[in-house]
Amino acid sequence: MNILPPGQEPHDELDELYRRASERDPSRPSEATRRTVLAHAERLAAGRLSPPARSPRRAGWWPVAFGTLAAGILAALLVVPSHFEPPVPPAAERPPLAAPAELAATAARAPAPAEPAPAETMAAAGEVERPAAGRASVPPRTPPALARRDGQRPDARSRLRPEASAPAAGKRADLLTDTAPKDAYVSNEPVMTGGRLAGAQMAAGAAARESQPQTGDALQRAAAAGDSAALDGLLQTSDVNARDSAGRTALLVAVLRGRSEAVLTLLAHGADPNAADAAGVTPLAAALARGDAVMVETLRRHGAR
Amino acid sequence: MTDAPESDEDLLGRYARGEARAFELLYRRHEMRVWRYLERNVGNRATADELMQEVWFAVARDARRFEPGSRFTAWLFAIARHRMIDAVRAGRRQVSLEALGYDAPPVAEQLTTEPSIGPLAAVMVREQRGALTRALGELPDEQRDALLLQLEGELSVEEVAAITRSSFETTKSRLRYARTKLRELLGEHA
Repeated sequence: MNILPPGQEPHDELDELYRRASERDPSRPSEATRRTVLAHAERLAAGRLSPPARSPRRAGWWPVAFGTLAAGILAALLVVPSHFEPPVPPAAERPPLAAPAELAATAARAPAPAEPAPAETMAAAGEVERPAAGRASVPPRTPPALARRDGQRPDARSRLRPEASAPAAGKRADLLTDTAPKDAYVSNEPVMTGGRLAGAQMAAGAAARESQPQTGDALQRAAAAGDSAALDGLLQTSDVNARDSAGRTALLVAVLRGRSEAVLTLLAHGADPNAADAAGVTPLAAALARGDAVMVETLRRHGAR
Repeated sequence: MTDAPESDEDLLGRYARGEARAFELLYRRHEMRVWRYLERNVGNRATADELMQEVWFAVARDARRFEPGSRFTAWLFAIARHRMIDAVRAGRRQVSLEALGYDAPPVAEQLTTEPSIGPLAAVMVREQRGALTRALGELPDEQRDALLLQLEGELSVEEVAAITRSSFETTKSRLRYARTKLRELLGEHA
């Protein structure tokens, strides 16, 4: 009668031979590995007995939700007004363009007109500038068109770049005329002259600049917490060698905190084992300072010097 | 009447509730099996040591996610295999002379570690281990992996198939070929 469960084949002499050879096999994991694993497990168990703390991963959905909501509002404020702008008046009804010299003078002295509340809020938050109510709908975005739009709103540059308002106004006035050389627009100056497009570009640039350190910091936070699952997730989209404000990589933070698992995770993702912080502290130096022989060996195996 | 040893699943449950001692028992119970599975697959002690840490770190971290009703060893070896494949993809597997069985410790060392056996037995052990390692090294990767899962994890064909994401029939064939070939190779090396 077959008493073995389905899929289980009966043992034969091969199993016996394998078992005997394995029992006498002197190969075994290092004592350091055993110590490291058990110490790590003990730390986790101690954490489970203590009151649960919010892990960075669990807390991570707040910024994501807030960011998504903010992006939605920003998009709505950028897109919706374009559908409610008044029609373009005939060319004959448009006010005549100011002379370049007048424009320069206006740009230097004119105060910013009152804006609707949402635009003020966004400007205060460093976001893009909302077009003024009643402005003509968007003409083709040729450089002269941008110049005309600015001509109607000479304060636009001063609000976006206050430092460029008065002293630069005279120099830039020639850019506001149709007679300005076309290659003048290669410079980023005309792009900064206001309008929705320029504002969106600025916002995108600022977001990109701000997102970089935040990504780095998130990595460092996950490394400090020893949260390998969070690290795995973040490393799908982030640079493993991103630095925080102190110039520390996530690997260095993990070593400093003695987070063996995070160290292994980061090294497996190709973290640079020799990346020093601003003070010149390398992961290997940090591991040596901690007296962590296993971590030293791990780092050396991955090329740390 | 003696008490049956506590099951792996119960130990893991105790650890998930914060008992570090339960993890230690579990680790010592399965340490050598996982080690042999990793070392004989990757063929390098340093990499196997590193993988051991990764596997057991994952067990400790995910203990609370273990599904009741599952078998611990199947879960454990699934983690081990997953980590091993990641290492192989990352290029950490280093097939070396060690993998081919040429690194067996000297007889004197074996006598030190196993004082109960005599010199002749020590030589036989060394030969036997070398033959086994060489024979395993000659198996195709998929067959060696499936066979080691079965031998070290004591897993059923279904469990091996689930872990390797292969069909039952494919797994059964792999195991049959692997066992036949290993028997032949060991016969040649003997």
